[in-house]
Amino acid sequence: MSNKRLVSIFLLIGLGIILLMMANILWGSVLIEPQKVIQVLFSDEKGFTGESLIIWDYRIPQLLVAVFAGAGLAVAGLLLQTLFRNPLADPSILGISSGASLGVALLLFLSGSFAGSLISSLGWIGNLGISLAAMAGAVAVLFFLMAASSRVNHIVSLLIIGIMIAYLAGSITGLLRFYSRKEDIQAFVIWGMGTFSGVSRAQIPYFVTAISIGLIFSVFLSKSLNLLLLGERYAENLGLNTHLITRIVILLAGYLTAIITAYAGPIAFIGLAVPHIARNLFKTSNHLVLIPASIGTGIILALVCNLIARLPGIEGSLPINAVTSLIGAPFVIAVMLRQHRSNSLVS
Amino acid sequence: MTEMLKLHQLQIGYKAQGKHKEVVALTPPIEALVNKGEMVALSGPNGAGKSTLFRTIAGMQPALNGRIEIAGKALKSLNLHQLSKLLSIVFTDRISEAYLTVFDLVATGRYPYINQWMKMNQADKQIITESMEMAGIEQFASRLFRSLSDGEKQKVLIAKALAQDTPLILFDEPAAFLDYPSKLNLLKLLKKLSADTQKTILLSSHDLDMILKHVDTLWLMAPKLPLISGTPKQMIENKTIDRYFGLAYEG
Repeated sequence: MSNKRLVSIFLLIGLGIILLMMANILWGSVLIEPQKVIQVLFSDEKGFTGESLIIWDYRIPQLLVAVFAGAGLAVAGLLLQTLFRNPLADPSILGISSGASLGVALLLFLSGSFAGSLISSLGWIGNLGISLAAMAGAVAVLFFLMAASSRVNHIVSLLIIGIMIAYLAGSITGLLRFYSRKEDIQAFVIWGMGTFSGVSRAQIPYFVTAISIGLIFSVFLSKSLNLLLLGERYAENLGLNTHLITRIVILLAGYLTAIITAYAGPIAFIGLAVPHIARNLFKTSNHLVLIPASIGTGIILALVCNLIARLPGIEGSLPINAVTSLIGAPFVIAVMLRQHRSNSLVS
Repeated sequence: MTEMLKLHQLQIGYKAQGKHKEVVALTPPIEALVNKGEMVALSGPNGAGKSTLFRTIAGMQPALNGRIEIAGKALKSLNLHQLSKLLSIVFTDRISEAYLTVFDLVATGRYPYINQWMKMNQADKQIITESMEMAGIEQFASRLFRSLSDGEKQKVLIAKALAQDTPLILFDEPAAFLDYPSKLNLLKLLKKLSADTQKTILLSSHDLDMILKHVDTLWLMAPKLPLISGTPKQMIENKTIDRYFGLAYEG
């Protein structure tokens, strides 16, 4: 691909992101006139009007969570697809999101049964509790994977271990659910549907910083990731310490997944689909291009989904997981069909 | 003559898993030498340890005992990065990445020489172009690797090894997936490379028939027998080949 085409696609993605950000601030389940939005955004007066509250405390935090969750999940998916050289790998494949789910299930169901209190009725303390439980579950699985990675020789064994952890965590979660009260189950189901509105304005800076660090770090892995595409043996012959890189990649993908799942729930599909869209859009396997491309495409997909989830006229907002697949799946199918047509030559 | 690869009292094999940590040596200690610019073929029946020997020389599997020297340096004293500039290896591994172009794949041969951001200078690009020309694949530069035939793919991987610019190149079963004309073509190419560039080539192959005609030196391995080295002519005349392939029916 020529540099000119590369730059123009990136410019288009940038433009798309800016337009979608504006749309995300302008539109929502409550109708606010554009003039009013601009007035709230650019005026110095910190009025506590309803509009100002909706924009600063809801729409902008939600927008930022969508942007960074979309980017983070896309990069986590790309890292894992490259590491396992498997197009079906995604952030859920190592059991990290299942671990997060188990953490949340333990918190919701056990506190419900023993303490008789509903975490879900505790407001923001409840939300923070859920985030911490999800984080604890995800980190526990991540540590187990790191320990396992030093004991197995083949990357495929690690993949199987990850999938088994996912099943294990899933079945324990299922058992907990079976013995739980209806109210707790509902809170768990809602968490499982994913949301970009679960991060309060005060926590946004931490979320944004944590994800940004992970994203920047991933760019530094570009060369190693390019080598991993050739397989472990070729990579090693070209000077790459594959054991070390495997652990770093899992740690980084796990870190991004853990933080995003803790704050936004187990968001499916973005991590699986975006790397495919990015590869097909740029027709390259160079991670120096693919990482920024996945970040941009991930942001766009997340913002489009966020927009659709809370279009005017919809009561509350739709579950993000339903929307991501609904929008993303047909798109990926279209991309695959198009790829089949133009197979052998690249411009 | 300069020694390029030296194996001294080398024992290859595995440390068995489990409680006893039993050591399984595949052959008696190996003593062998390859000079600069020489083309050596390693052959022997399945299970003789050809792949294990290659992996051990390439630093991907520890030797059980003994010493390997590449260009006068002990393998043990080299890290992966230093080794990547001395030895390149062509495997039978399949590379199936969708959008990998031939140029980009050959360019990975330069990775040990370039920085994190993969910026290549004119000299790097020159070497890549020359490597593709030597392997006869320059016309495929912008094609996708996976769209090529097996024979063409093999040549791309040879170009990658040339771009890596190492004095020693190992080929693990380079002709495994090829038809007869492609095999012949490939061996002639390797022979020409070793003559033109003074690169040292060590290749493993089952295809006795083919290698006997094209290599200077033949190494034979068989389970429990010592590695033996000689010219193809000697090996045929003194029936070593029959012995190592278990064909010595008439005694």
